[in-house]
Amino acid sequence: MTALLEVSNLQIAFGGLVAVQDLSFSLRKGEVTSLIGPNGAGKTTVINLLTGFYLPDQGKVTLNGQDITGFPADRYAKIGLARTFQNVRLFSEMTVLDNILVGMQHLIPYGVLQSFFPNPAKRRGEKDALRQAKRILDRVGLIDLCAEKAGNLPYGLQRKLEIGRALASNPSILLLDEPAAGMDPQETHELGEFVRSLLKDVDAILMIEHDMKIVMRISDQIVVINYGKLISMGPPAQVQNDPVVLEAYLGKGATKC
Amino acid sequence: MKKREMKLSMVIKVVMLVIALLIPLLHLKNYIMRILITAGIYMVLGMSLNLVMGIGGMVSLGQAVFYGIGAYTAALITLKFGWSLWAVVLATIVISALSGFLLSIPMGRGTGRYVAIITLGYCEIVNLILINWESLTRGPAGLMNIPRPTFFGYPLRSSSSYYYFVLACVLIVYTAIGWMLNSKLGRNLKAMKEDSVAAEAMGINIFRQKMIVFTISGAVGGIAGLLYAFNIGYIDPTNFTNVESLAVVSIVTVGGLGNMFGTIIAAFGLTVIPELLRGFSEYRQVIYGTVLLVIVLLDHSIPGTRLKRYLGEQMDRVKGRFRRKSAPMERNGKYDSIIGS
Repeated sequence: MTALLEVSNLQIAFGGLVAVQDLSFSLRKGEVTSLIGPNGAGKTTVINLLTGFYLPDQGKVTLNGQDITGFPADRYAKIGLARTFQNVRLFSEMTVLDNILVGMQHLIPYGVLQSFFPNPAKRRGEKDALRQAKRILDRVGLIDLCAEKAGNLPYGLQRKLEIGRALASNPSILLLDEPAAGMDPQETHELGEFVRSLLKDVDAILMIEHDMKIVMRISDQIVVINYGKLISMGPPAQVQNDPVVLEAYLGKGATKC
Repeated sequence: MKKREMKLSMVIKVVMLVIALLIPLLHLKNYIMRILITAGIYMVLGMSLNLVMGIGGMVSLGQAVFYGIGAYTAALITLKFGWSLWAVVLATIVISALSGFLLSIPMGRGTGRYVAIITLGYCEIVNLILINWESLTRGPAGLMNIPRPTFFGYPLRSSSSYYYFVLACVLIVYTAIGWMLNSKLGRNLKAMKEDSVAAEAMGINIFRQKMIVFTISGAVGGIAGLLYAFNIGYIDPTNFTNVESLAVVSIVTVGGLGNMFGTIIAAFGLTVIPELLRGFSEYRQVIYGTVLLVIVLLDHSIPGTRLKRYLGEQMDRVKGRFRRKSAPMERNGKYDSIIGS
């Protein structure tokens, strides 16, 4: 159980508001880590910091021991960090298949000039990409809808496609921002199983989620933050009974529910 | 797109190509050939702008800059060094592509109105340089007597031979852009246009994409300029002002953003309509403006959208009578190979 991604003393402030403060945790190989906290606790900010959309004021992120802090956002996909967004951000005018192909674009080897005319490198690159895309579409169960416009999919499938698009970049770490948002209990349950099963494809998963049922069921480790600060960390059973967590969620004086 | 529609559009394109190829055999008046050649030049220029506006999703208000740089490069090299056509074409592409590349640098990651203002300013700057660098460009007097090039020993002197040369350029540009759109680069550009944040998260470097799209756009716009310079044999800075840029913007808008075939149709229509209106003398511009307005309103206003929907429904009803059963969703080849295998 070695740490794959190590976050240490991460900090960012927007004006006077300290959104993330002195946050340290690590993702271990073969584990699902959930990042939870009340609304506005800074969860999405953490993912934005990890994927280069914000530059941290302080702190360090290492992947396999290498410092990856503050890279430009487009570099993270190449080093194996793939993310989804809280409000689904698909390329909705493009087809399901093209969304997946964009996800794996850095793995397609031919160059800019070769795009303009038919040539063996392009043909081979596209063929390999198509085969790979087929595997991913199979994985997320969207193979029959591959010619559909992404924007026409029902919401639940759009979320799955977004996960598929992230998988397409062949990441070692998957960062999911509220994958179950807007889903009914049945869908949420299935999604939980699905996320857990993704450990076959990636090394580690960091998931932000509000639905405590799925968090408790599928996580190996839970990181709880409030007002940007770490308040508790550990396996589900431990976090569940932590009085500090209960206080953050339910107010002072609350006991286990 | 459905198979039947694809087939239909293919048939239309082939028919149009055949007509285009046969036109010179009709021995039309030089005046008409000249209009068709101008339309062809605007097709190339329109496609160069549509790359930026329709595919890259950025409004460029200074497309005439590449047109002008291409025209001046081709004219100056021909007049001063007398290089062969291919060398001139290559040099023009390189220089105008370079000017597109330079234009993309100050943009950084900015989008929307910043791009519009930067392109507008760039065009003004280059126009002033063309006017004031008299030792090179002869300033407002312009460059005269630019000889028509020779194509494998065959001089493109007659208007039909030049017509074919322009037609070939239109075809090459159209086909190459089509290939590009169906490749990694095309997908990345579309992704950047739709959601640049998500595109970045997928490892797409937005700045680099912009450089690429402006470089290509510059190269294609430069080809249009070359065609213009050799066509008339005379160029001066007034041919390449922002008035010209706006004319191209209207071609792309009327033809549809991102729709290269639409640009070709619109370039043809918007070149021919003013000529047809010559009989109306001073009312010409008024009618032309009204036509433009109506086309845009049809596409972008609520009544226009309703009208189109109504017409579409009527079309579907008519089609429904001829069809026994609604066909299952048809897909084009790329998707067949995925589902079929």
